[in-house]
Amino acid sequence: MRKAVIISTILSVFILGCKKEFDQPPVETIPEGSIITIAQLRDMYSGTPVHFSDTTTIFATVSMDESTGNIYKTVYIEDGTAGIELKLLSGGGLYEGDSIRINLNGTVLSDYNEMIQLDSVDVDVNIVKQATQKHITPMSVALNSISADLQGRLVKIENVEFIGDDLGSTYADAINLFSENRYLTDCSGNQMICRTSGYADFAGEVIASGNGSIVGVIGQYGTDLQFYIRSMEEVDMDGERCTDGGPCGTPLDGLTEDFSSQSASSDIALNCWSNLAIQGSRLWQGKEFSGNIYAQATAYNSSDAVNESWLVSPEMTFANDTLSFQSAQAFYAHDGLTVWVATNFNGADVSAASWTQINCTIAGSGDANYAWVNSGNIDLSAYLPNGFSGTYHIAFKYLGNAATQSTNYAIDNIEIKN
Amino acid sequence: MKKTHGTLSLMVFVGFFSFAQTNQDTLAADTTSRNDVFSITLEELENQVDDQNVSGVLSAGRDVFSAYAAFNLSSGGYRVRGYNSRFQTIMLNGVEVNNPYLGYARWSDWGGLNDITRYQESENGLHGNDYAFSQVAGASRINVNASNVRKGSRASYAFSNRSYAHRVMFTHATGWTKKNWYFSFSGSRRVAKEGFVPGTFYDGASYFVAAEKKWGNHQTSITAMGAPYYRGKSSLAIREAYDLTGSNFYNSYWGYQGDQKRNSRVNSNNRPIIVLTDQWKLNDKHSFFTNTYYSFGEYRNSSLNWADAADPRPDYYKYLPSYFVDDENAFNTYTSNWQNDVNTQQLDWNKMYQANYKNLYTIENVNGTSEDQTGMRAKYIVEEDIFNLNRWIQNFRLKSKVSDAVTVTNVLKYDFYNVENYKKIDDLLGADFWLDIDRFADQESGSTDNLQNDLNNPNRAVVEDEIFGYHYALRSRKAAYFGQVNYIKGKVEGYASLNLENTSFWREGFMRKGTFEDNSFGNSEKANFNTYGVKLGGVYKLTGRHILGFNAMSSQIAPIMRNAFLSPRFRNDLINGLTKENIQSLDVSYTIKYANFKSKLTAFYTEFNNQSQVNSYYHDEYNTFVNYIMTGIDQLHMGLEYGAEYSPISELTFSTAIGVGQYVYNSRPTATVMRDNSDEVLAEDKTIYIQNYRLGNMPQTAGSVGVKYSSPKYWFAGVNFNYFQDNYLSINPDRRTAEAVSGFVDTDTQFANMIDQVTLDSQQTVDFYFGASKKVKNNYIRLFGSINNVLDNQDLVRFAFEQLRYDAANIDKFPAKYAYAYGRTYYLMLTYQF
Repeated sequence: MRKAVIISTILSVFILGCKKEFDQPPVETIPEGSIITIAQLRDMYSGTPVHFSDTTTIFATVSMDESTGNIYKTVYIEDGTAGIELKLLSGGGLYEGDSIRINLNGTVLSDYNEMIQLDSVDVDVNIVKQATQKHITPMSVALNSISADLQGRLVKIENVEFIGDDLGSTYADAINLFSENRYLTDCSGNQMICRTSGYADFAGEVIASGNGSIVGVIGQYGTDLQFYIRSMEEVDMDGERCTDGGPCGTPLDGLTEDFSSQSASSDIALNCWSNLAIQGSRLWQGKEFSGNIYAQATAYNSSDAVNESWLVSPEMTFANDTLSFQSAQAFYAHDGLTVWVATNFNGADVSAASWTQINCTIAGSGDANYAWVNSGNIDLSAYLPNGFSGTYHIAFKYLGNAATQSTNYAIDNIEIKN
Repeated sequence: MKKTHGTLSLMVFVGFFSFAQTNQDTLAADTTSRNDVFSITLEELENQVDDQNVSGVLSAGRDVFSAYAAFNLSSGGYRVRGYNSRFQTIMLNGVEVNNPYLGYARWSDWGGLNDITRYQESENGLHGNDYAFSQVAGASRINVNASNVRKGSRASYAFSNRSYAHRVMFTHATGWTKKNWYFSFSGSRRVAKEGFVPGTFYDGASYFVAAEKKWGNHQTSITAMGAPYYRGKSSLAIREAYDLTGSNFYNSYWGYQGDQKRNSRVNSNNRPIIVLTDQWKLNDKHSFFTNTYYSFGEYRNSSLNWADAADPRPDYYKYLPSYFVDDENAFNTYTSNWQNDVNTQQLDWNKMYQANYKNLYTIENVNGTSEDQTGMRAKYIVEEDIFNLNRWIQNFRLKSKVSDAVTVTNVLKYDFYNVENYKKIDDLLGADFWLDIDRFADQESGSTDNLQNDLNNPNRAVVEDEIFGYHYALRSRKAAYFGQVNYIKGKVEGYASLNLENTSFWREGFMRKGTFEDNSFGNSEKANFNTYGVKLGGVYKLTGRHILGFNAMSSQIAPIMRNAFLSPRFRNDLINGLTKENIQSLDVSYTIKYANFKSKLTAFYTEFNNQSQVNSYYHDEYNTFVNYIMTGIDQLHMGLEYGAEYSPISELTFSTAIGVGQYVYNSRPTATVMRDNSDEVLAEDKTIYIQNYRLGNMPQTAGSVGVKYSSPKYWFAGVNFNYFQDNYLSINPDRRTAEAVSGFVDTDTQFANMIDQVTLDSQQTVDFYFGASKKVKNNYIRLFGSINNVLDNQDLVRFAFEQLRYDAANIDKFPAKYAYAYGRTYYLMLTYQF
């Protein structure tokens, strides 16, 4: 008996309970209700806050997150229709490129000094991430075409610079952590506020001094539209400033372009020219043959369903101008090149302009591969209103697809004169 | 006769004490002001709170005052002479085991081995000691030789509502066998599903195994012991949280997971100790003792961590109603939630899991490769900070009897201490991985290098049980000589001791930190200190019943590692101006000893000079985490202790203990403020105006009176009344700077609120205890019980300190934090000895 007591006591003493294990709670799914677009969501707002208490759902992609510190407890999202600002109950957890589903239950649609926002979003309760790294391509816009309609959208503005008064300043006050307004301008004198938080990791950097492109999100404060930079890598502004004869300060009276400044196999990047992929991702590229550089577009071997690539000239002042250029095709499958003129192109958004097609001689099925065909002198007045004296752009549009319309089209030696 | 002596001595000491009334430090205006969570670190506070009972037993001395200080007064936070516990020397078999990182020994390393630790010798305050150069607070020497456990068996069961609910203990010693062996064993198990404070639990098992052998002139013993445990911790909180929940025992560390209470802060310990002792009797005059101490194993603390997510702590200041003081609706909503919703009041584990379940994330260039990894990235985890210890101490001691009057002890000691520090993920809370980057590092535009905890292994996806975050070792080497001469003859007993030490310590980093690329990996510079100490003391017996005594010490001491490094988790830097500390101490005492009356009055005066301290916290003015480095901290401790015992009849004993002290800062330290995550110096040579501020977190005056009845029929019962006064809120040094009050003039109420030290209310408690024993054949049954704090005083502040984070414009934004001593508790133990 005594031994039994001893032994059992000893045994009981030596058994140290293992660390407690806890049951994992089950996953609470977030219901998916009726689906609306961001444009529809924005349309629901008429000046008084909308408190959502049902499971209405939107699908969107995060276009700007908090990681650089420029925005706080805020992210911007967009779908194909529009963008909007999300105000988060607590920061973090959403990152650029996150493809998300938002259940609106519990959130509030409201505005803050005219900036429409979806407020009180609890990332852990309202949001399901579908995928990551679905990065949005910024929409190209001209500075003077930005309006309140673009609230919350990620845009790329070409050919802009910070105003002279701001040169030498930092983006914000990184010492006292104050936000600062700097001003972006195009060469025509249009301006826009670029607002940066003192908490941004680039707040203490000196603003870019040149002219070029910048990517960011459009915000609004009262009547002021504002521009929020995502990261320094997207501030590509080291070109010549407007006053230094800079990019497209004043419309040109004439031009000649033989692409000799371009590199083979690189996308065409000419001052004041717009090289745009409207469908698919392909741009006009520099190509080289026997030492001659020219511009080419093609849908050959493309993984895009359709390729629509535009190369648009700088803004020209009309004075009975004529146009001439050379074209060539190779591996003919279709007629893929057309030439257009418009008087209201904003430098970025081709769909917003009204284009008139120019009839001219273009390389076709009868021509040998890479045989240059002269367009002849085209009188542009035939395509413009009577007595027109404004400015215009010429565009070279390539349209094709890899399956059946994969002809290579090349252009060179473009000349506009009066 | 007795009274005359008492009065006389009191008069002598009043003179001594009166010059303690010095002027307090002022900041421009003449405002009353005083002292600190920076003399007592939070870790130390925890050490006290966790092992309240054990430490009491360990430091219980023989005289009345010491016994009261250890049992009754310590429950109210009383600290003997106001000393930091690193100045109490703890020894196992005569080997000092105070650790060089924190300076003190962790009681919990041998918790639950009460049958062993009861065989310890203690001294309170300054004393001579034959084993080591004991520090100003005294020494406790635990003997862990097998033969020190009394022959026979003891089994006990204890039942309580304190930190544990049940304890079983069994101890057995064989006595000397015919072959001159002695074996001892002791083990205990302590458990509580929930301790006195909600959400705390306890699960511990302790063991002690020892064997001893006599051979020739030798007696050799080997002992292995340990006290592994897990326990849930309790928090400190601001008054608002206590008021909202209606309890001074609100604990923010736990929350419900399903229907179980889960504590986020679990402390566990598993550090076996092996002690080898050889006693070699060379001849009648000389004995040579060889002691080897080896300890290894892990001490762990878990806590929540989070990234890109809301702070999960329920009492985070932005979740309290007071944060919404300007918004009535929110204020009412938060108040109501705090009062009615357990998931607002406590941690919401489910919410953390749900957040983790949904956080799809792609790590680019994961683990330093060019690959991406996509999965559920943890927003919340439970991580464990781990101290992985290896310590070896070799001690040689020669004890010589030179003459009848003179004995001499010589000790040589070598102490190597190596602790690896790192953290591991304990629970991913349903996520796939944790991204190992530093969420507090300033991101450089365009590069993630700064965020990396380990540039040698960037962008790591960490899973459970992997080391992450930080990883470094702290190493210390100490070589020491100690010698003491004792003299006893006639009316005089005296001692003189000398201590010489060489201490060096350094850090080795195993990760290359992004923010400290060039000074985080590899070995740091070595800090090296040569220090000495001398002690002299003795007693003079006026008669056999009236004894005068004194002790004096002048000593230097190497700083503890805790206060020597700058952000040791991340960088290889010692603080600037790191120096050895100086301690000067003197006490004089007068003792009266009659058969039915004993009394001792002691006056003491101690200076601690040149102390350093490093604290890390979020500084609102600089908007960043800072290292707040203070050097030149001096402290002055002086006061009186009185203990007396009187037995009018042998069954009845009245006793009392009174301690009256003044423990103050005695200098204006200098502070350097550095950013935690860069080399940037934010402020230098900042003067801290804290001269004559009081040290916080202890009643500087405390007293107790008690009566005990012991029946000749083998039972006893007693009651004690305890009183605590002059307890001060521990101060935030940065609030006592010119910068902190620069926005105010000295007549502003904000000025006084910024710098005045808060005095806490006086408190009283009543303790009751009883015991009985019965002999059954040759065995004994014993019963012991106690009820502490019988009147259930729940307002006795145990710890209180001003938060280091503060907002000069709104000083109430980050109010002081408090922890309260237990209310009424009981303890009942039944022992069977056979």
